[in-house]
Amino acid sequence: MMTSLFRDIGTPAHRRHPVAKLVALTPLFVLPLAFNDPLWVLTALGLSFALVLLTGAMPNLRRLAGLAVILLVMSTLLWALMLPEREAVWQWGPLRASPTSLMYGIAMGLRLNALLMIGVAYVTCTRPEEFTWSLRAIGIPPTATLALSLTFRMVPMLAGTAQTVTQAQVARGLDLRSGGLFTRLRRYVPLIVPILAYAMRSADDMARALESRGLGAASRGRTEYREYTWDAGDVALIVVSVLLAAAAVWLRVTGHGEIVPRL
Amino acid sequence: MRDAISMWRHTKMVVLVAVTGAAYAAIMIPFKIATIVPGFTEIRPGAGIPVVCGLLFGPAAAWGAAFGNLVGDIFGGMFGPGSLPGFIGNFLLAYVPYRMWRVLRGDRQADGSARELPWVVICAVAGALCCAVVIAFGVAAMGLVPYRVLVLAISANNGVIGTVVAAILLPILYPLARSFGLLYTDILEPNEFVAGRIAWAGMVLTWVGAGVGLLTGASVALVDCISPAMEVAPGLAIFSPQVMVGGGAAIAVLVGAVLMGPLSASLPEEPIETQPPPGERDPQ
Amino acid sequence: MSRRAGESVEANSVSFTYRGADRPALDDVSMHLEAGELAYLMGRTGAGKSTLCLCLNGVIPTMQPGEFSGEVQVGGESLRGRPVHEVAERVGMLFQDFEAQLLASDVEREVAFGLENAGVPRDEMHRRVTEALTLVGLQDLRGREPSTLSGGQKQRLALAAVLAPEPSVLVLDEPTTDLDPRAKLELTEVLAELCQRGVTMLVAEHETPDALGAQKLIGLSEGRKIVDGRPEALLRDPDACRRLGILPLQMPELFARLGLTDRPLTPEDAAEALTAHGLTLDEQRCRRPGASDTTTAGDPLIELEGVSFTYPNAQVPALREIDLTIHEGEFTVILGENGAGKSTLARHLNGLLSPTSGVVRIAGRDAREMSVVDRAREVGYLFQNPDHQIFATTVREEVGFGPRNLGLPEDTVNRRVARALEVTELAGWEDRDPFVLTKGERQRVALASVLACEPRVIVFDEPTTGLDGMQQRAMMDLLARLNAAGQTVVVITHCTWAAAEYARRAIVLDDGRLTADLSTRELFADDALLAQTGQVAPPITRLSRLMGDHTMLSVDEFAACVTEARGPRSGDER
Repeated sequence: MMTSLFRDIGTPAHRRHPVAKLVALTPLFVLPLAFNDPLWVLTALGLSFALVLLTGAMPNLRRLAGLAVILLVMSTLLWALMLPEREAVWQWGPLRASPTSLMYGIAMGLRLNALLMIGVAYVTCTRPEEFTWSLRAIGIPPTATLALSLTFRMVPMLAGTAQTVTQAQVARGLDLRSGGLFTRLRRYVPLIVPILAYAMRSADDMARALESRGLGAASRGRTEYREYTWDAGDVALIVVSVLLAAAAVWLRVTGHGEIVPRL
Repeated sequence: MRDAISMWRHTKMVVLVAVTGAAYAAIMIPFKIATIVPGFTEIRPGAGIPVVCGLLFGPAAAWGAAFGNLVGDIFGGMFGPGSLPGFIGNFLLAYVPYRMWRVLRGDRQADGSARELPWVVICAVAGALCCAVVIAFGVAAMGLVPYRVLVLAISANNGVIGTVVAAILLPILYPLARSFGLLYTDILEPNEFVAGRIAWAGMVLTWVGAGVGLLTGASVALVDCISPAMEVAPGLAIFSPQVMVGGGAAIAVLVGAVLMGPLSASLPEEPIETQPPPGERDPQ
Repeated sequence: MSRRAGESVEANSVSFTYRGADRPALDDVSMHLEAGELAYLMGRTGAGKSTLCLCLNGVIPTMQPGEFSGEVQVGGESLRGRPVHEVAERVGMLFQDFEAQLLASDVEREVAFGLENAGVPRDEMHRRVTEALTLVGLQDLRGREPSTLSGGQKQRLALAAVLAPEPSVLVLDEPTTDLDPRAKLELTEVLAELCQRGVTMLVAEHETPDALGAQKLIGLSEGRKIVDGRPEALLRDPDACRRLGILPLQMPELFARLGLTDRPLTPEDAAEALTAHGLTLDEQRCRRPGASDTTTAGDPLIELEGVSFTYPNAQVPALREIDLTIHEGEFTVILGENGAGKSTLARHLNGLLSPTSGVVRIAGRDAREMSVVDRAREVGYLFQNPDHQIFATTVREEVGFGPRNLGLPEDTVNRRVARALEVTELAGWEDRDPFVLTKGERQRVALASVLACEPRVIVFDEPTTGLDGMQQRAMMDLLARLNAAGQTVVVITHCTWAAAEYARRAIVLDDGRLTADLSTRELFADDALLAQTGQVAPPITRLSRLMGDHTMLSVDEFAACVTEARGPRSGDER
């Protein structure tokens, strides 16, 4: 899908201050990162899943279910085979694994899923405009957030173009499915070029529209259309997430939730 | 890296950030040829876009690639801690080729002609390796994906696929960008993009970082030989030796990229827009 | 809206040459608009309309490299040396491409964007955003992302964003070109409202204005002003229209053809005038079916049986139970309102989409079992925007792309490319770069590239959109020539005059259902069906229906049937 995953459903999470949501995100990401014991990571995963339910992100998560399963399986396999310096218990040629590395792999798979859930929860309850607004609020220059906002705006437009371009070339007999790697690579050129050419053609109009709408009028000082007010819930969100992260780090430092001394 | 800051004064560069970013995200996501590591890396022709746009639009393409990757993460539901190294890595995927071209070819245009092809390849590969090293280090340091897997997978996709696509696209898109007046040399003032005197040193450092970073992924022997040195820093034992070496390589790459760019461009009087954050000022 | 009163606009000897161009885009153009006046700016593509618009809001010469001379004044003040954002507060500008001028990912902030930059206080901003959105009728879509809006809504949103800073002058550069008739009408209504409120407006268009009562019409040709006066004066003169490159209105065209000197504009006035002249339609000649009715149904080429289609993630089907057969040699038009399923149906004709249920057979084979190449060999598809397909650096390579995909040997490819370029009058352009051609030329390159595949059927998706009047006529004439040479043609269009004059068979869709499949003459004779499906017959057809129970489809046809009524009254006949 080529639009934002934001769902306009107005849960309490949707009403949080954009800066509170952005600030709380970092400590929340720390929770699954703090541990590498599968059981402890599973606990973090549970908390992440609670966030998914609170933000109404279930439909989005369901769409990503396939990805989540692949992440779990692949991560388990990769880490089981590649965790360095573990005594091998099982060995197949150059590949080796041990019960510890397998458990570590499962933990890492769960960790990826927990992070995925937190990210999906955040994106579901935050409009792209609120995201860019919060970036401005924490000091990113307005011109940069404007470019980011423009990017958000243009992606669905170019994705639509990409679809039409593909149909136009297929109608002229372009077959994307057969042939070797490099033949197929070449066949993508007739798809990529019109999209980029179209994007470049609109660049001039867009620059004119920007200046016509007052970009560059910096001397007079900018105002913001939206205003968000802090309330107790926003403060609570930040405090709780920071406390959770601090507790997780403390537990880990004191030797809990780890099966290997690596991150 | 002053060019990456000063470019924001130009409306056309701001638009080109969005053009590159949106094209990157819109092409990167749906167009994939095959999967290398399921869930982690695919063969995507879109990888050539930051390189081509970097050579054409300069620093705007660097921010564009970074923004495009971020927006792709957000739209795709993959927004997370990995988005940060993704941001920096994709920035370099466009910035390094653009800067390296200026070190190697000076004011010669990257017009995609057959004569310039070897230089395009060198710059594109450098960008791909820098991108791979930084992302692999960042993601591995957070314990998300093993360093070796990621550095090789990204190098393979961006380095081979991206370079081939860039080499094919450049001769088609260069005349177009020129006729639309969108080349960075048409938009920026020369003192905004001309490199500093030690740019060549930056290039060497970039290559050393990229080379070591890639070899660390490819060779277990190299890691074994470097890892004892790591033991002297006990506090860092939470990282694996590979990640440690990758981190060194990533730092070398970043410093090299900074050194390749203009370090102290003297800018016109007009100050770069800096404003108080929203919410903290009263309207009026 | 507490809008500033309109201001006058004046251009004095304005010339502009784009950097690298060999001739000026504007050559010594002067014009004057009174405060509150509505003026149309007309001319062919490339006549300098957009350039003049950009001069009025200061983009030229501030942002556009090139050579500028002359002066523009708004409200008596010169724009010289003023930055664009300063001019923008007084002169709002709406561009043709509604996609490229939307800048935010949320409807409200889109409208607020200019106000934020101007430092307008928040309360004031909220008031103005609400007013602007209400004025364009989008007040209920506040929280939406612009990408989820329809084309017409996007253009009205762009207009709201231009209106929010409350400009006293509004410049609109072909604002309706990319819109369908309904969206056009909605926008036109908003503009009429603004006109009422006294905003000075200049509307660049290449279609004949008949919706708005403009006070002035300025005509440009090759950068020079050739017309400046009341619109009716020009519209009553078909030759002057042609000189300006716009399509003449049908009524003045008919009267000129009949050698009459009066020039009514509407069918009602025309019917009255003809009666006064003692002219009527010859019953005998009218009964004889015109050439356009002799449909020779050849072998079936494309057959749809019970085709239904639902887009992924959509709730309602886009097509419902369509049965349809396209025969060899037909010239068929697909009509219907936006969202009726025209494009979805067309994309089934060449297998770009596969039906959710039902069967599509192309040349007797199930489309699902055919390869991409097989389908391209049978059915070609010309997309609306040529820029959605052009990718090569030479015209030759672009046009040869299709035949090469079909796996043809190189000499056959070359022969086909040459033939296609000849038909589209592009011979000799083989080595040109298609990207730098004009829109009309790019459209022809795209058509040539479809022709070179030599498919048995070609589907044209809105082939006249974005072209000026003369280009539209040329494109439809080209389709007619192809059809006369045996090419089966299917056209999706909103353009009823083109459907009436050129097509023989009409398929009308309504809400995904096939509501009518009949000859175009039958369609335009059926007032109930037209009303039900939101179609409007061309003026000449309406006139023929006013003159008796006849259905004439073109001015030529009508003129050929006119005869003197028995017991003629005096009149100034030929």
